[in-house]
Amino acid sequence: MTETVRIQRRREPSGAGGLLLALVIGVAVSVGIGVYGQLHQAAFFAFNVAGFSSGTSAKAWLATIAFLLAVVQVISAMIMYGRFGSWSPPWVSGLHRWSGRIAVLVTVPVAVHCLYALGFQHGEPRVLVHSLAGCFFYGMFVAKMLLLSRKNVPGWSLPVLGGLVFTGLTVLWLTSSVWFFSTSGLTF
Amino acid sequence: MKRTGPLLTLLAVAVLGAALFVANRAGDPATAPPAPAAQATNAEAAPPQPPAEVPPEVPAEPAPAVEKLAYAGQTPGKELTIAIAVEAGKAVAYVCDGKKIEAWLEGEVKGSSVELKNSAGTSTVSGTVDEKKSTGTITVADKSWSYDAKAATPPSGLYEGRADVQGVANRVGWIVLEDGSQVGIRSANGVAQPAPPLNPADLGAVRIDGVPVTVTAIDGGDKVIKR
Repeated sequence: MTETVRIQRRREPSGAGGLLLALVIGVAVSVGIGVYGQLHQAAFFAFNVAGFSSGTSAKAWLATIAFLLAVVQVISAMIMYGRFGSWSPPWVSGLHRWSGRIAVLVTVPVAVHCLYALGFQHGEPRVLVHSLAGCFFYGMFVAKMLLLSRKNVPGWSLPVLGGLVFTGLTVLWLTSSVWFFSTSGLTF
Repeated sequence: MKRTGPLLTLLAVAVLGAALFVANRAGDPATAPPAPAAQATNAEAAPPQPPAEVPPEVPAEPAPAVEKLAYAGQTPGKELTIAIAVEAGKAVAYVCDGKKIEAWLEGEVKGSSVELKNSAGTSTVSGTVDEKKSTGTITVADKSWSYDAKAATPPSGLYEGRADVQGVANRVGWIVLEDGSQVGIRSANGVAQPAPPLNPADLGAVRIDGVPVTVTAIDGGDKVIKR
């Protein structure tokens, strides 16, 4: 979170009120999720998803799907920004948009379970990092969506926010799914 | 179009999150009013916009009357001894007669009432809890007793021991009463027998046939039923 604040201050002179507003709202969402996770009485209960051996393995696989789609996000964004030369077929922006939508929707059941059943925890480093990354991810996601809906924002701001969203999700995935698969095996 | 798309994405995430929250809340045994709420939730969940920042809504959950406490006591005729530990709305209990009958139970505290059962659902404990005592009914194998348990301060409370003795998993439950007396059962291979003595001041000293037993003091948040 301090990171975003720093970016905010440094880039403010470019006159990007829209960017500032998006970041402020994004940070507010991050903090709000964290506070809710901390205050809410962890319920240790949630629906199980049909077809999986446990709620945890369902979460791990959903998060893995989201991560794979996030890789699609990065690659399609790089194509759109011309990082693969002039090759930029017209469907790439659609691919980017829809893979992103599906990715974030897939994360929602996972996050709701985390928040509702477990809450914000800091008992061990992995769990603390995961909790922080979860708050960070949704805050940056909200900021990026708000930014997309505005015109005249600095050109660098979208890739930076997109990168932060991807970083957040990667940390989330590493500290949950990868940890789960490496300790419990590749279970469905 | 380009400008509203991301906002619609945000809205979709918000609605899905809110709907799942409501569904979880409706299905949560700890918070659930009767089930029909679950049907209505999707329709109701759509309007609210900011999903993640929905305030904690503490009142919806019947807060446990006791946050964390253990109880130990007996049935009036001292047929059975019981220990209950509660923590954050969860409860575990152990019931035994010190000879052959025992049951490990898990359950929940809602308000001042506590309900527990064993994994098969054949033994139950149903009672009330407050800061001083827990009273209620124990049902084991179709027979019921009332019980009266007082708040237990360590070393009084519930203990569990585990050991693998010559390849056979042994599990021991002990209840240490307020007066220092203890009742327990050791089970292995489905056979129950009186537990070896436990020294609450030295949990590591218990041996079964020379094999050290791992003994832990059980809190309300612990799991005592294998899943």
